[in-house]
Amino acid sequence: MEKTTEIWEYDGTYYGFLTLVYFAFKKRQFPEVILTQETAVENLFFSHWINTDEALAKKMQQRLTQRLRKENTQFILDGFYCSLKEKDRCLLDAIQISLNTDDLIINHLGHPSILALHNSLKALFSEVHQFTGFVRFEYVGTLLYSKIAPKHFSLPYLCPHFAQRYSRETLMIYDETHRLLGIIEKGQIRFIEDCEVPTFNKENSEQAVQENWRKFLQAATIKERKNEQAQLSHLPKRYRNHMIDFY
Amino acid sequence: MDLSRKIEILAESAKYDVSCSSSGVMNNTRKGSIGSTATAGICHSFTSDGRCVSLLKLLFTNACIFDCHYCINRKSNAIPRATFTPQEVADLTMDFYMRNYIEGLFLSSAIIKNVDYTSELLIKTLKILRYEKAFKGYIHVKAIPGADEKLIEELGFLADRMSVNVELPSRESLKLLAPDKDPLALYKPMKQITHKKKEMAQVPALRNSAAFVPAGQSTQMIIGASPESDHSIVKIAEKLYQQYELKRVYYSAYIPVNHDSLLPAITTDPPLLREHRLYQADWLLRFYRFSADEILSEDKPNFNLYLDPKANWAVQHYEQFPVDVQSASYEQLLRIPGIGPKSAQNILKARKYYQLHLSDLKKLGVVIKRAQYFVSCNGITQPGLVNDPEWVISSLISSKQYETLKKANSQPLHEQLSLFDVERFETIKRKEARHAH
Repeated sequence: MEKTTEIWEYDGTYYGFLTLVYFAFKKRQFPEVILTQETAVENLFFSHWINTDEALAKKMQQRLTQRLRKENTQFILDGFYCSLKEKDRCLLDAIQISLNTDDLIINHLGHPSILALHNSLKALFSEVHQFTGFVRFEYVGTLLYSKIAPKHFSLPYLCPHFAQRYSRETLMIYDETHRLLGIIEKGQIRFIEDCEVPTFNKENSEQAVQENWRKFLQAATIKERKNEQAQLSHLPKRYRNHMIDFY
Repeated sequence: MDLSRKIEILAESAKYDVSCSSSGVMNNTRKGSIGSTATAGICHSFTSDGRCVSLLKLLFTNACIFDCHYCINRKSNAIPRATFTPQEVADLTMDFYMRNYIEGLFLSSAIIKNVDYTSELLIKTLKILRYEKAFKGYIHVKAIPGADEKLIEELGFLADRMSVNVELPSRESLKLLAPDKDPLALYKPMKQITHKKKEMAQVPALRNSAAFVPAGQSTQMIIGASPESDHSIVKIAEKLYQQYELKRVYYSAYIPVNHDSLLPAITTDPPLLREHRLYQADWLLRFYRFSADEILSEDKPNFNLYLDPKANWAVQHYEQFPVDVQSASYEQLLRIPGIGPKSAQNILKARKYYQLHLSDLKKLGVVIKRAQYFVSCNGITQPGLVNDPEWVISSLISSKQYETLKKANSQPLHEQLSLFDVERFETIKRKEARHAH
């Protein structure tokens, strides 16, 4: 693949990215910088806009699914949702490496792009894991509702956990950062994008349970071991705004 | 007594139980049930002492008939007493679980009336949760030593994990400080659980039946209430892992809660650093393929409080370093301070197709601050590295700690490899502290 000094720009969607991948491999050229609408404002240089073509993107997705190992396709898909600044450029490298090997792409940690994606995915999955514990639900009628403010695009990765955990219930999780609402009904998951915060009439019965929880936390603390620094490093402040433990 | 007061009393009484893990069971969700389990533990909160809250940790009752010297719930203590009903514990668990406050229940109990009666109450609670509430979440229950074998077995089929506290690291200490407990009875349920688990795994007909203690068993030891050395504690832990296939051994720094002539004074600080070192040594046993005798020996039976056990081992065996990360085996990589199982695996993956450089190590998860003294890459070591263990020690710890160590060192200079006589230094420090009191 020829490396050029070109700057390419697309709309930031997954299909947009796949269209870009199609052109990169067709032209046998990798651009030096890839911009999306969000990152384009930071750049002063002229960029070449790539229009999202859904049909081409679907074709590309099909090709990748056929040619790559299942685990490598998943790595690329997850990589697209991580918060790495230059993820698009790294993903092009990842696709190229996966096309040339039957090995797991994760074994190519020596390549800077794969290492960067791996570390970024680690941050995403670590946040998802933290949220499996730190999400707090409250009953609104028979519905369980929660609000979170994740740094990464965690909600789609988080919902399957709760779908399994509360397989008989209806749940709603609202992601403030990405304005995304996850709805889980009896194990089935769907999302509403660009959604306003849902409003409900909160019930008083929740207060008693929340008070019992705070009493439990207080009683479980050993004063002789007080170590707020440890608490802070395990449970950073960014999670606490939506946790009733700290009211 | 109202429920919230009971929570205050019985959560407070259970707080010295160390186990907080909710891991080890593959998901067992079924349609029509509530809850699931995870192979990796999930922490739901952290108290201001920095400890993880994953389970609703409660004592069923603190009205105990035993009088163990070290225990806050001993019958001779004048403290508020309370007892839950099985229904209350089950309801509270479900209330908290549905709101995602907890991953499950940790139920322990003082001995009320007698051991069998206490066990029956625990069984009743678990039956309400499992059968009436269809709860599939994690349950850790304490086996009551001395209870009928059938009751222990019944508990084992209801819980995910069981634990029997060995309490103190030696039989002599246990006899002295827990006169109502039979040291042999403590190990009996542990043995029973191990045998039953093995039997369930070996008999094909039983393999698909109800799971017996699927997350294994654990135990807990109180550290600092009795005079055992660190070496003897690590040896006991090693034996417990090998003989009883325990999942975890927990260590609890003794916090003086009772005035008692047989125990450290009530003003004594809990030996938290010693507890920390024991956990580090425990990790070395479980994940780093060390043996107890490599970590400590009878000649040097206590931890160096300034260096973690792995770094301490590395400076004592400095002739084996620097290890070349480009060619070393996984086992060798694991022995380098600053490299853990994950970063060792990352190194193996990264060097498969690419030539490593020292500057890559940090990105691969290696703690360079510690590892830099012990690694090389394609024959190249960190610039400025001095091939002298004493220099390594001085670099790993603060200059103040190093000066204190040096002053207290009684060894002649030519005894390079034994380095610092830390145990002697600790004895001096302890004597000074006693005089000060």
